[in-house]
Amino acid sequence: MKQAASRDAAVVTPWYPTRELPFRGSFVQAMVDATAPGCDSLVVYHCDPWVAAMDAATTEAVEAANARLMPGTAHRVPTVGGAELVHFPVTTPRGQDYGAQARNHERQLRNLLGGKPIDAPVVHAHVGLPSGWAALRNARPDARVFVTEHASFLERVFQDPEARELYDELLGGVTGFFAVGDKVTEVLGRTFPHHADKILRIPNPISFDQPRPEPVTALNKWLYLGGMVELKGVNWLVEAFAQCHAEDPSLTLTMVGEGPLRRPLTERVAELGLSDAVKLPGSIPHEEALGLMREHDLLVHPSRYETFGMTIVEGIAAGMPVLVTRCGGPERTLAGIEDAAGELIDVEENAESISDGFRRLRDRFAGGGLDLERARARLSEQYGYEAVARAHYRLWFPDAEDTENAEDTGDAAAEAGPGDTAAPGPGGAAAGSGGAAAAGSAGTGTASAGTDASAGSPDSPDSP
Amino acid sequence: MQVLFLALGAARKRAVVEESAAVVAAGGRAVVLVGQRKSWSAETFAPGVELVTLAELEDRHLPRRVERAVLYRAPRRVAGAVGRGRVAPKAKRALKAYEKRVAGRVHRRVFLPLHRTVWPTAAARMVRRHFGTAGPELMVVADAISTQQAVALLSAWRARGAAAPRVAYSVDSIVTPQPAAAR
Repeated sequence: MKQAASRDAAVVTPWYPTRELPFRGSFVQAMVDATAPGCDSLVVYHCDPWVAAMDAATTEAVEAANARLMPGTAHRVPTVGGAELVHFPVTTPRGQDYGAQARNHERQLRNLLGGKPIDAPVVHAHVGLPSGWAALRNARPDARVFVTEHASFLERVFQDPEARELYDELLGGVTGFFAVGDKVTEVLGRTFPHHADKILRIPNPISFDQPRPEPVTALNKWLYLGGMVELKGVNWLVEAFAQCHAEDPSLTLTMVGEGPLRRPLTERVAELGLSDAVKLPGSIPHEEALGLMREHDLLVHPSRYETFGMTIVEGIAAGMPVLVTRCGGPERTLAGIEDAAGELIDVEENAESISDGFRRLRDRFAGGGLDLERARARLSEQYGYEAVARAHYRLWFPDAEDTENAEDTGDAAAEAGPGDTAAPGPGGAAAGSGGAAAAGSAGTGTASAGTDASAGSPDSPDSP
Repeated sequence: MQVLFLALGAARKRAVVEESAAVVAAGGRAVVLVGQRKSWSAETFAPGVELVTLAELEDRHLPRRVERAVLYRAPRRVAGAVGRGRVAPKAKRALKAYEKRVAGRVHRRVFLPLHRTVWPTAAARMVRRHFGTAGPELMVVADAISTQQAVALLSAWRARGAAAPRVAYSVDSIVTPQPAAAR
């Protein structure tokens, strides 16, 4: 039985979609959308880093001015799932170290709160630094604090001694800590071996509610979503597409995302005479990206490295087959359904691996060798809103969940060992996959169409 | 609704362009106050959005207009009248040197500090006047650098007893009926 005020929660995050960066933090928004309906109240504190070139005196003056403004300027407005959103800027000097950033977020969140703690018994932060730290230091003494780490640039974070020190303290102070993907878990385990048994995993939710109007009948319209950076293999994708287009001129390719390679790629496309077949529209909001998935036939994801591969799950959720590299996360995410979902190819520094992979996939698809419905159903069990929300509730409100789900045996998440998932889906599929790490780095999801977390901290002053 | 966007730092251009367009599309008036026009030259604002620099507004203050007349316009007229025929190039060079070495220095080193000391709220008055008697109804603080100016404007307006506008970090956050401190 639900008890009054027993299911209040707060989320602290540096990433949440805004007009300036509509693609950033859509996985946080998805998590809020999935979990808020089961809470009495859920307030999202979006500590948005507003970076500017400022000397020390200006930094101090600007922060003081912002502190004066906050009480009347940061408003609480409705957001997804019935949650409320408080968006406010954390004024940040360009080039600020990660440790200093964390303290900055702590201080400015406190300014927002008027010196009082966050009024919720459960606080869930996204990324350890800065938001995990800010949440821990602003939570009530009796609050249960959780952190989900998404950053794929942790090694760089830990080069800052202060950041390393704060992170150690953070790991010791939180109730639960979750990492996305093996790489993040490995870096954390290596850096903080004494906390290794505290690091669990939890997937970010993906909506499986909007199937495409018509099923894919031919793999003609290719789609790529992600950063226009070398790490994503976009150069090879264009060359591979050119090879396939030479065989079948009806093929088209849409490459959504931003990055330093967008212009050179546009020029290369023109040089290849493919300007009519290849479009590079830049970055777009997450919802639009999901819409594009339902309009295209094939998701091609030739990344050199991914912690998880949220885009791939979103693609399959949208009913598309995928042509994806075995670059870390995807092969684990698709374990057991590789052939049903599409074609996995090795990471090779050539175009042929992609074009050959496409030909194999096309032939298998034509012969009915895929089972997208099965792939979709399987991933929905692991990453669907309901599954992920349940996992959060078990962690956030263990007493209430115990009462409500006395017969639910999948509530051992908080006690799971390192590498175990905190979000067992029906049948514990997520735990079994070994890849149920949460939704990719900030740069791996559809949401990241214009970013690449591997190339820089999304809230780093140095980020592109 | 009359909305003032403070975008002096030019750090969040996409948000400013989109939000100002949304204001105009909703039938409102959007004035984007910037530090320098050239920082925004690559942006395309929706028709109806007004882009204005802080310096342009400050220049509308009477003492500033007098200063410009004395320091710049009068010497230019004199140079124009005297510098005809063969002496024209010399007059042009002399005027240029005067404006650089004398007028510019006097403006920066003497007049501006004096102006800010004697009329500290001039900028706030000029910004408000740009919106007519009612002033802006909403002020959107759009980047870090603008926070200081926002505080200065609000303080000046309140000190003069003028109605202060609502303030937000985004027009999108003005959807609640009673915006209150986020606690």
